[in-house]
Amino acid sequence: ATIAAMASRQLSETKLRRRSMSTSYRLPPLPWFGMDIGGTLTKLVYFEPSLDNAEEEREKVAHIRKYLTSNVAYGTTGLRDVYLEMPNVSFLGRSGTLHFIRFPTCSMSIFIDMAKDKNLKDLADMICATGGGAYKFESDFQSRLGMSLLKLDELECLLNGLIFLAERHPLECYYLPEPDPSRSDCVRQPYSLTRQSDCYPFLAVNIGSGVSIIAVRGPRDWNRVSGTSLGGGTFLGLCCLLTGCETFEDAIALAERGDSNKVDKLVMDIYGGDYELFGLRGDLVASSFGHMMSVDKRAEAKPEDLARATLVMLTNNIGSIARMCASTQGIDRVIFTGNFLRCNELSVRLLAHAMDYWSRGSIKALFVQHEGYLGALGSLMELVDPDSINNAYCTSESAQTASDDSQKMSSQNE
Amino acid sequence: TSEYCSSIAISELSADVLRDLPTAQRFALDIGGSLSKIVYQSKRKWRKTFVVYDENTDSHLYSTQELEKEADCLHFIKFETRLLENCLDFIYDNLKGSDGRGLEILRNSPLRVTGGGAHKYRLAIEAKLGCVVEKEDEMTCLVRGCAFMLKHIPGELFSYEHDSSPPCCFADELSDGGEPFLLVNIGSGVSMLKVENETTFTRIGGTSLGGGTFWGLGSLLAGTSDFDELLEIASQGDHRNVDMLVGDIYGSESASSVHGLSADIIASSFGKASKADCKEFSKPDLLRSLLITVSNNIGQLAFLYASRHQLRRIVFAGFFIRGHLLTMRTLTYGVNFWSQGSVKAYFLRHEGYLGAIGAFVRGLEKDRRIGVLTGSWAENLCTSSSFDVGSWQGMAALELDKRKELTDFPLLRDRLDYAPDTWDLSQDLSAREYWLNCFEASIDRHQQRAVLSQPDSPSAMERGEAFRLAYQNFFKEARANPVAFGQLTVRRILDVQEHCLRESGFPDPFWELKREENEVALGGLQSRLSHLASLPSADLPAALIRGLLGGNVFDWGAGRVAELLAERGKQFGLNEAMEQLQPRPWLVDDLDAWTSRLKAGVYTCAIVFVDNSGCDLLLGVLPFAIDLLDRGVKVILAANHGPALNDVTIFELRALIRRVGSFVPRVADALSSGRLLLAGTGSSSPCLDLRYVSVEVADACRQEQVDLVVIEGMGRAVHTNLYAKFSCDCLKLAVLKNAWLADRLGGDLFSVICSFEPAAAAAVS
Repeated sequence: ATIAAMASRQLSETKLRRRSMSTSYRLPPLPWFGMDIGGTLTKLVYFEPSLDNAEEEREKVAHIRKYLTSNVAYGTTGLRDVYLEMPNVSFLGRSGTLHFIRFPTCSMSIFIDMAKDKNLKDLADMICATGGGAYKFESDFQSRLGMSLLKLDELECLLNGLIFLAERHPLECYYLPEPDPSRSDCVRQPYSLTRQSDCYPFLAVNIGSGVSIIAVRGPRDWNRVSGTSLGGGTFLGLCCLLTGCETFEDAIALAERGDSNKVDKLVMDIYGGDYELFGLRGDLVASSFGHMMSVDKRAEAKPEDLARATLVMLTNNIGSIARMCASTQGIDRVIFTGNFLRCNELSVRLLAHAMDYWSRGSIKALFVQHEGYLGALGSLMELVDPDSINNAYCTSESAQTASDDSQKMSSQNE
Repeated sequence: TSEYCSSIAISELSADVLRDLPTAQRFALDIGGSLSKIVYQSKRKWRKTFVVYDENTDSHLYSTQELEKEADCLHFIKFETRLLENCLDFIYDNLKGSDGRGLEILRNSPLRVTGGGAHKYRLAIEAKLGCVVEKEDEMTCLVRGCAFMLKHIPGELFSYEHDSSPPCCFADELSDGGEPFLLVNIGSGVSMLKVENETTFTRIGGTSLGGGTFWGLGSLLAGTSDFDELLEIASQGDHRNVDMLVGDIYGSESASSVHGLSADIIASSFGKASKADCKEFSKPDLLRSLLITVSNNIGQLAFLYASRHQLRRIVFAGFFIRGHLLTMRTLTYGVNFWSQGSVKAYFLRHEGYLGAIGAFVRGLEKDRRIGVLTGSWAENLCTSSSFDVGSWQGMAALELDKRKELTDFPLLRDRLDYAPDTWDLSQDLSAREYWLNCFEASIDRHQQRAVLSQPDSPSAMERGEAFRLAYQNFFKEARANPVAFGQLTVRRILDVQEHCLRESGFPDPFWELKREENEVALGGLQSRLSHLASLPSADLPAALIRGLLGGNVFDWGAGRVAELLAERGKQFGLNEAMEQLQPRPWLVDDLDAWTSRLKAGVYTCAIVFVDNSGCDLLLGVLPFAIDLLDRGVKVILAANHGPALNDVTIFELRALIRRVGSFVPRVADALSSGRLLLAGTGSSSPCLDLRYVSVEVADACRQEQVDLVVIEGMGRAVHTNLYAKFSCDCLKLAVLKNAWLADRLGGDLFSVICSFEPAAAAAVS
């Protein structure tokens, strides 16, 4: 998710390659991977076929499957998000489970070593990859692993992944009916977002290291309208500098405990109350970090307060830009995606509230369960021609699978 | 530590800085977090010349007297907020010193205070000065202040152009108050205001990521809270060590080869700063990244708000900018990047004073005294501090002098397209070198003449020296920073010269010389008229133009001519001057076109902007004007209000024309019947800025239906207005008495410009 994706000229190249692929790889050999190499994190989606229809599975494939599914951590930095796992998914005529794995992009070298160790090369000579890293690491994959990367447009992958999940998974997409940043028990209400449910147009705001904002008007009708470099990478970078924390999870945990009013200057701090002339409430942030030029206030501010202020500042800024873009584009639904929102309830609430408050209820903020994996999933789907993907999905068991999924979700929520 | 913002220090708190305090009438304050600004109006005493005309008793044509006269002045001072109380004490003492009269005036109406500190310091101010403090809304003051500056100060607005050197380009596209624009105030937070006109605006949005964010986060990252120090540290850093760039994600080659995008575009601000990278970051790198993050974001949001509201112009103001080059560059970059050039970012030269003057204006509005501000206010180029865009300096002191009310010249074809100056010395290095050297070399000459003009004044020598120092200082600053006084032009340099003379108490160094020349020329008028009358009528128009051009050689402002005049004295007359002229065809030679047009007899009324005293006016312009009158064309002779070099003033002109009338009945008749009108232009410059002419001239042009504009002289027709287009016919006449100028226009010394531009052609080109 970077500004670079703005260059949609890449798209035509991608489509060309996909067409040529679809003829030679009607059903690609296992294992099936999709990869999204971002600026900070690499996301991997792995399709594990059910054993009953995996009779042709070769020994090496089984080896990789066992390695991936029997572990939740790989090496020192790789992790499988078990809570996002999707069983009983039908894909390319097979049923199986989708697994969601991530590792820091700076560990790419270790990943390549591991792939070499597991002889991935013997099974396939190509991996579908998206994200800027697909370009950056292409020659490493080639020279060290002998595999090539099928480079795919990241925004198109993101949108394909989004629609796929939203249609397959009734609880994938949700909103907060009564967003309140101060309450951690906001109800999540499922939102139906399927091609049948008239899901277009919407604005997709993908918050990775940076932020991309895409106006989507139809299945193949989208364009990147804006973006900002103030994204998840900014949050983590600033938190590390300000609090000494080391991971995103630590930074989020700190932010949840903190009080940003110790750090920010509010309207009431300047005007003694509301700024009535312009209808600005006294408790609104007038200046992020606006108290921190004072030595005394700096001494009082705790790391958690600083983390909270950083989170609030960046989240509100993204919300503000997204809202401006939505209203300029005449769009009233904004879907927020990207790993910045992973395990980040606070930002979800802030975004939902900010969109609602500043648009006076006219713009709705939507979120997705697999927020960080849409691009990787979308790239997995590029294994075959999109038309055959559609055919592959429309099986009689989809209804069954969907209800299974919803049961799984609700049990998790309990 | 405050040298970057060049506010006054406590040791400087003196009558030199807070000038004319004992006569101060009204105050307003803008109290910010680090800097405060005060504005007050005073009555200043100026030496002024008065022309007295009495035909019965005086042996001379007229006599000139120098008298002290009071005039309104607006003073702007910037100081550190921590010095506020010292400043108030100083003001109190000065006002009390003036028999307590000053204090009484101060307490007559509430003191208007704006800015973040208005609340905090209210009681302190009331206690110290014994007046009532009234808080004024910041945004309202900002909008009023912005309108005031744009209206009165030409070249107030500039854009940051990275490829220009220096990177500021001046514009006055907003001064007409036409199209609404977005005013972005970057204080602690940011407010976006849609400004419709001087008084109507709406707050359409804002962001909490503002100056306070840079200041606060910067303090945390650098461990120091001095705002200017943070900016200074930021200027030394490289953000690419901290920010994740497109090239970092895509690989530097594929970013450009695959996407055609610069690998340097920031993908994630502070994206390299997470612990996973296990790096130590330098303070300069961090602060630079922070500055870019904040200003880029403001630039982007400003663009989003502007495009949402169909605004094509964004003006940035607020303490965050304070003339800081990198900040302006990044804000501009943000706007340009996102708008693809469809929206333009502007800054203001006196941005720091918008709040203070806005509070002042608000006070006048509330007290129903807005009339105090009627008229035009002009920057005093001698006493105002320079504007140093490259090294963080804002304006420390600013003084505006009240002038006559000035307005647009109504016959300009396109007011917005009009730029008075022919050469921009800010951008044109060789032109700048030449003219700065040329004018600097004339300081001695002007100093001598000034001192000689006041033989009875014991302080003249001392004041002459003060003039030299002030004027020399200008050249020093203009060389170091060509935008120190806005756009640098020949007109600007001449203005500075006049301001320095006036400030040193020399209102009219040429008064005696002008009178002498006028007397000599007047003696030759009758024979000149007889000579012209003897010519075949077909030859008359050309002879008149030739005479006018010959007269225009008499210019004490041009070094070569001053030498000739000094060498040959009274032996150098109109005929000798005409011999100096380039033979035809002239450099620009529309004489035939003009002659045939004149003979067609199409004109109703002509306005002639006159130049030098003596031969120029009396033997060149006047016969030309008399001929027009003879042809049934009304004539308005427009002369400067204030003295400038040996240019004739309206007061001298009136005396002269009356005297001429005593022996040329045609002139007396024309004057009494209103066919010959004399008008003051409102200017005291050897050049002519047609955005600022007197209401008198503008009204006369409309009432008399002027359909011919005649501009003569290098200052008015070459240094300025050479490319000016008019809605009626225009005749531009000048002799290039300067080698550089002649060379630039492709001619030799004493080349002639005789440019006739019919209205129709002007409309086509």
